[in-house]
Amino acid sequence: MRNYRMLLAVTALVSTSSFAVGTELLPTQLALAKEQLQRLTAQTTSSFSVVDSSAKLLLVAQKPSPLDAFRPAQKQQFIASVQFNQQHLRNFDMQLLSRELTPTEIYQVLLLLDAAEYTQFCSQLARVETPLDIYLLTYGGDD
Amino acid sequence: MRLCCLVVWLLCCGAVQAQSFCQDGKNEEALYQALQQVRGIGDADGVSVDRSSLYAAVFQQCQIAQQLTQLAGVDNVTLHKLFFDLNTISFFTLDDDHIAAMQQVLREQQLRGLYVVHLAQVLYERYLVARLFPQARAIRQEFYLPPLPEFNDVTYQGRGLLKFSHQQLILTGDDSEHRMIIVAAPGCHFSQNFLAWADEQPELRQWLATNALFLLQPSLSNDLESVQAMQQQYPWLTLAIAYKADEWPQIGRWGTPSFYFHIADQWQSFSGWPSDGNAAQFFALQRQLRVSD
Repeated sequence: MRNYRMLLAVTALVSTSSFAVGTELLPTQLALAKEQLQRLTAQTTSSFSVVDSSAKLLLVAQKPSPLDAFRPAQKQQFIASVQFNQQHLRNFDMQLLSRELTPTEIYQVLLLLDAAEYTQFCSQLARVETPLDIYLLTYGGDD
Repeated sequence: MRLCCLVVWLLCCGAVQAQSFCQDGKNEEALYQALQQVRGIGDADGVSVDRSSLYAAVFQQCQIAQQLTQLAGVDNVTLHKLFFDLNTISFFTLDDDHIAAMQQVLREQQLRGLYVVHLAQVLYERYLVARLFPQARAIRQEFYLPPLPEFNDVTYQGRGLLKFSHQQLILTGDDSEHRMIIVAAPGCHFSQNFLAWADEQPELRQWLATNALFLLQPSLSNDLESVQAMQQQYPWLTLAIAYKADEWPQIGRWGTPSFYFHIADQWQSFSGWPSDGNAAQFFALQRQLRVSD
């Protein structure tokens, strides 16, 4: 996994012809992305307690939350896919996350579910728009 | 017997025939619903669903080829979803046209200056699995992607087969006249049920070892560890991965398990291994095969 991360990082750095946003993750951009990630994590964790049951998920979904990154129908579909087993996340629809959201949005949703370590995996086919997206795609959200 | 085979074939392929997709529209949302529809189709009657045919039907019925002619008018988000959905389709079909459609969408994303390096990686891997090496090399060079095994340093005659030798997959040519082919998959519990059943019968095991090729489809889902484990568990298997699906025209469907018997210059087949077994049908075709020798 570490090698793969390195490869993705190198790929992101050397390939300059194919993307407009954050054309290269230069050291300054890396630092900025890390800082943004820390801010985002702090904001999300201070606004929401960890969701560890379907009941809590439904409550969170009734108010503004990272789940609003989904379109309404897909939001309901994602919520229906989330399964818990004795306060542990058991399953969720990874395809839906990856198809609908950016890595940053995926990270926030997974943070809510205490599953941020899956960010990189769920982002492999996600739409990338910002340097933070590239950072999460490259390094994941659990560092 | 032919009528019997026809009935079985109709039962097995019913899932494909009964489905219609994108009846209410040919847009991204309709495509998504069609893919959800396929995703929701479960295995039944002891045979894994032939998802390749189902996804090919989605591609055709949702008129994706036509959608590709209008990419310029599609917004970035929808464009990405189209790539995502084409990736799902081509994962199962490995069809050249479906993979070319992925590339077409990727090119449009590139033209717009969108970040696509990770998507290029996915397309590169798909090219390799489909054995489209010139395209694979081109995209690897363009995006500086790490090289993956290509198995392409061997020219072969006949059909290509990937076989294990000293813990490695080796591409070999195959021009044998196979008498029986069993399309199987290590991750398919119906295939495993059949193998466990056969393994308990020394005489049958011996016959299969001599006469049957256990053929795995050229798919990413056949990860090497599970193939190796299958070979180790059943050392009597003649096991190989098909190099290219289209080199096996006698294989009408790659749903697993499917049993193909070469009897009097005709291929006869049935699919599935439900818990109560298809033993009677298997032995009947095996008898015919022996008689035809």
